[in-house]
Amino acid sequence: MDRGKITSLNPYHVIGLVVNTIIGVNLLTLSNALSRMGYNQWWFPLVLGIIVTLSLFPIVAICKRYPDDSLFVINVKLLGKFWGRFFNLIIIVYAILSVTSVNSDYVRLVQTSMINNETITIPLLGLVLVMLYITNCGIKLIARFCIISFFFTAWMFYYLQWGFQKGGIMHIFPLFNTNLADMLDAFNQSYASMFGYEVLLFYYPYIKQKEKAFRHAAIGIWIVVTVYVLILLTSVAYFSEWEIANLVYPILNLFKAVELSFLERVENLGIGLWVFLVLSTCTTYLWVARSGIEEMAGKQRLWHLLFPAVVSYFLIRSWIPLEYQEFFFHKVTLWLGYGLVLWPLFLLLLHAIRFGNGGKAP
Amino acid sequence: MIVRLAAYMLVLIVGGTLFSGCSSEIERPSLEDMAFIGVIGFDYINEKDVKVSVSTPVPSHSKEKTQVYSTVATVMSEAMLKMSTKAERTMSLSQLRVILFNEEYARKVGIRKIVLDLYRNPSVGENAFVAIVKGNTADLIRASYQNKPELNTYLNDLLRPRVETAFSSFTSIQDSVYMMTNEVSDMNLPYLVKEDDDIQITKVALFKDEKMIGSVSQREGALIQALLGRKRLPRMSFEFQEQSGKGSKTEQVVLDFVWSKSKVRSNGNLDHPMISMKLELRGMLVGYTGSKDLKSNKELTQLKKQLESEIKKETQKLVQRLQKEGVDPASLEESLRQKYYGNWTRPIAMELYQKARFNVTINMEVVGYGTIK
Repeated sequence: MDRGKITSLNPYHVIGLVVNTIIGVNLLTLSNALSRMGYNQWWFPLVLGIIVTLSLFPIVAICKRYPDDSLFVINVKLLGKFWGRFFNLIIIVYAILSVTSVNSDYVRLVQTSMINNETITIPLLGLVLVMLYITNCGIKLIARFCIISFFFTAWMFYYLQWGFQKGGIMHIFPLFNTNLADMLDAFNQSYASMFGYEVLLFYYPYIKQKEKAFRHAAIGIWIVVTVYVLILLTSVAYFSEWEIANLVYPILNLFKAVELSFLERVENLGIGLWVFLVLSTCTTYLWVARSGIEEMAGKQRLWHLLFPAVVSYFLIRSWIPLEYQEFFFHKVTLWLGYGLVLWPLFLLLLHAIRFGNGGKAP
Repeated sequence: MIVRLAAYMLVLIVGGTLFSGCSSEIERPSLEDMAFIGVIGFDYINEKDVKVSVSTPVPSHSKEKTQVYSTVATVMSEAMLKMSTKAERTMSLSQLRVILFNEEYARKVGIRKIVLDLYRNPSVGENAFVAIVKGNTADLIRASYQNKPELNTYLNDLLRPRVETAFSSFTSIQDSVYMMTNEVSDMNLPYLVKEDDDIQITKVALFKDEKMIGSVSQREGALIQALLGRKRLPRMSFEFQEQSGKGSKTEQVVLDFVWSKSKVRSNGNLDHPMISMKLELRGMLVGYTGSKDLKSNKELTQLKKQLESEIKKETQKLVQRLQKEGVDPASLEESLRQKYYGNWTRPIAMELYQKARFNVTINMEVVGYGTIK
């Protein structure tokens, strides 16, 4: 176990963390989220990829100026104790909401597709316990888990070929018959599926090769973009535009198309394996929440880990009506996510005013 | 360490024993207690209600091979509820293989509502076949078939993709939703007829939107599939009048298509759309009753020309008929969509399709003629 300020993440860990934190439960609904784009949606991840890469510049820039501090410390250093802690609190809320949204989406999917005559208590409890167990061992273990879950799930791409063979490949021919309003809507709907790279702000101090962090993160992002494009290409070929707009979980239907002589209903296997992608996303965010609380408390305690997990569990299992949950988990998380991605720009400005551009903080 | 482990074990064992009393009264049924519906049929009663019949295979030890239940309901889920109270086992749709509609229902009500209801259900697999039945599906499901495998297997195997039945679209539930909802084509489904002890795929049912409006023969169905780009087509036979010195004589040619390719392109003109279809076919002569010397290049070319013009004539007649009826099972509109800028909708597609002119080119290759000349 590596705890404290030990630089422990090698390049593969960084790439794995970026890839698997981004790919989570949102991929399942990505094609549906982009439905306003119609058949043009398959190239949209490329646009997203460019925007994400651009927004990575300020993130890495602020980290370079404070190579030994996570965003929680940078906030306090730049904004003073009160405001720094205030924004740290918001970040912790964001992290907890992210964990909750990922877990709740996945558990609802499991309930819809696999155990549709039972409640979600037991699967959710199992998910939270495993999540706690992984997060307890620190960022390096999470990174290792990300790498292994990538290889555990990547082979599922083989199954895309059934959808591809059946479909009309001519649909992918880009007609560019979308307008700006559709693209903006698609952007807003789908950006949630790109969140995860901003966590770099928090594990940057642990990276071994800090000078190459940008390159490694960018590699990770473009791996994700490739994956998204492949999946969307298959969706576009396989589904009609009506289906893209009306199917909530297009990936589930893509898995259903698979015909193997020795195995039926592969979608159950796929959804089961998806737990790896979900865990690798939510553990990273849980780790962020934990390190935030530790930063504020100034010491390490187990309840710093248990608290966010328990809050997240009860947010899902609570009396809050589902439509409010939807609002909190998706809308609020999205806004906070945008805020966090843009936050480094503000910090850079502040840094430039206080210490001069490019200079290191005292 | 050992003590600790023993303590954990003790807690587990005691806990397990005590908590077993908390298990719920209704347990999840085991595999033997499930009735997996294999075939489901829908018959017309009136605009609102539908008669649902299901067939479930029975595990081998009992006398009957299948059990059949029927009920009347408005939606599928309601029918499941009603039938579950009749059956001694728990009904499940997770092994559904074949969905049947009777012709009357498909013509009067349309299959959209039921197909989407089944498609919504996550336990229904994507690969269940959809077909239209002449007469009542209940009769087809309840009948016993001599010297045939059990009904669920029989129907599933019958509708499975094979070269012999490649004139139909092998429509799975996903395919039917796709064909119903995409903006460039109309649905076609295999049409089943029950004759004594057999079920036969006799022709292909044509749909406009969700309602059946007519049918095409097996031969026409094969041509539609060729235009859609299917690689393997079923056998076709042709008859020609052969002119020779002693008067005319009928010669018959049976062709086995080993490979085919279609290229459908439009000229992109919105006022005078023109759709060019180019079919490349490679066939093997498996039956020939004429007197041509097939070894001679000249006479083989002559035969080839005859075949080409015959197929061209038939294709032209077919697409013109389809155009007149306003249906497009061959998805010719896709070629128009590819050259259309702007928001593509079905009314635009239909308008363009209705006024399009067609140009059919057939390129035939006879790759072999058996072992005698």
